[in-house]
Amino acid sequence: MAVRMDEGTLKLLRAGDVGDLSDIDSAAIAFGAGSAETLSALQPVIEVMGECSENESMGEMWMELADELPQRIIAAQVEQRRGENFERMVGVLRSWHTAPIYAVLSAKKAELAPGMQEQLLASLTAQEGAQAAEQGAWKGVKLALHADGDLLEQFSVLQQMQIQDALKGMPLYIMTQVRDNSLVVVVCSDPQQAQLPEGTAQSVLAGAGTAFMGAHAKPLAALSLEPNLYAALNNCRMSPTRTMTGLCSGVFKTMAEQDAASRPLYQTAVQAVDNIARQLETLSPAETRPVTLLAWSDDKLHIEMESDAHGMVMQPAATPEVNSPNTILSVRADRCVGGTVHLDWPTLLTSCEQLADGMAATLEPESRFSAQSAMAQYRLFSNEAAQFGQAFSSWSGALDGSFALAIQADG
Amino acid sequence: MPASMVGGSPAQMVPVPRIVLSCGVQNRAGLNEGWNLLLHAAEQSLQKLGQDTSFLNELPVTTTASGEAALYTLALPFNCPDMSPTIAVTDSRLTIGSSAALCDSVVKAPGALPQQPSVSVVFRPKPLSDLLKAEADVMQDEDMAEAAENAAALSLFVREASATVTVTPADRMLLKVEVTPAE
Repeated sequence: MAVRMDEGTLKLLRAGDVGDLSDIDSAAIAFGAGSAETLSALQPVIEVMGECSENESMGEMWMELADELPQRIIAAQVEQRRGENFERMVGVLRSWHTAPIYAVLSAKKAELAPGMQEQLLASLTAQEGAQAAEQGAWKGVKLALHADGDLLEQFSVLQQMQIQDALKGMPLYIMTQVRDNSLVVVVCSDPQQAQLPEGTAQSVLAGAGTAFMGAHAKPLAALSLEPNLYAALNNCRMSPTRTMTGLCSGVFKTMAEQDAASRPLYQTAVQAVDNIARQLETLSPAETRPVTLLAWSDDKLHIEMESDAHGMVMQPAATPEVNSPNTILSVRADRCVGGTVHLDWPTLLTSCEQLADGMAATLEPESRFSAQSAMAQYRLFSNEAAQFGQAFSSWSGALDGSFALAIQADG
Repeated sequence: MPASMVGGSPAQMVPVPRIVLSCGVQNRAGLNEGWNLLLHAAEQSLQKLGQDTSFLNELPVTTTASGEAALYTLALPFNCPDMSPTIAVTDSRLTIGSSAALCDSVVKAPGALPQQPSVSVVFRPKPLSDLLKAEADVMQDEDMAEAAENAAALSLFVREASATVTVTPADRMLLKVEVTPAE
């Protein structure tokens, strides 16, 4: 899997304080074999971190509300959960292995790349406990990892020492090498695994439909040297439905945490997204599948994605084309035999109601009252709304699934 | 100049978009049955509101021929060719639209079988910004003017965006997105 960022993207990133990027023309990140597993192995640690802070705040809230006996029970439960979290986290850290993750920084001028390497190495070796490391043409450092901050405070002194020991035992190298006009940086547990491909066939991009790059693309940093290739995923396992809905849920959950006034709205939005995800999964199953993706530009921007169709069968239909320069939106679909969405109207309507309730709860008192009155009026007709939904399902069930839709600005 | 206007005097005319949906039919009898269920649901809602439901069976509809199909157009109390809700049903297609003329052209349009089955979407921001701007000017609506400006800003960069999903016989799904920049 690889992603390329051009100068414009880097400028945007610079707004996020990532240091001086004036020497860099473009950057690419490539995840070699095993890197996806490395990142997914992080998941338990992230879960523990999230759960720890949640447990603490919930525990505190209950303690304030409860009498003495329940207080003791709550304290014991929080303590037990804390112990379980500690075991999970230390377990992950002890068996940790980072497969190589590459970053390629392409310099604006070839002579700038060695300077970029020197600068990076100097800042890395200045880290506390860092040791210089070399492996073939690679120069870098072995980092000394340690944890601090709020995360550790909840654990006992003994547990904190065990976590620090586990981190000390985690080898993490950052190695660098200059090739052509690029600085290649690799993060890994074993520098011997860091290898630069000698040809396009060895590249992480191999097989991702990169043949069009031909002899013009140099294999090492194909992404940084080929100005028109932006991103490539090669048989990366993912679930498009779960990825998208997971992302939406995550955003709403964060918003709910940060914005207390609008919390009910964001919480119901999370519920609504979960409901929509369940509906979508009837169309696109949630399990992961290998996805290949390529994004490049010529006179247009192109994004191509390929994955298995999961048994979805489509049949051509003689659908009329409704398209002209004045058409704002034109949609055309052939018959979809498998994977039709079966809308669960009662669930959909309940989701909409919950969302509207959540929105009403965030309004000013005077507006909230009128919104809640409108909702009360709607509830008088909720049976009729469900009946409409079922009637619509029955009506649309007589259609074959092919359609053409057009919205035109004028005739 | 937008073709569709609703209103009395020219000063009050509001441009409207023309919308059409044409669907393949697999069971015409089932379509009629579903339609009756929809009417029944509408009738019950109106009755609960204490409204007279007889008008549902007395809608002012005109019928015109369009090839082998008949176009049923709802007569509205103003003269606007592109605001003429129309429906046409045959054994193979159901066409619903806001404009009788557009429905007529879609019903008569030959539907050729594509080489590979697909779902495609095409979006153009320029005609959208033109339409919104014309509506905002007539209605003096600031929100709409802002939406028109946003669409116009997008149209400076993008002339057309399209996406196509194809499912191959070998159980592969291909998604192609193309963004054509504005000239």
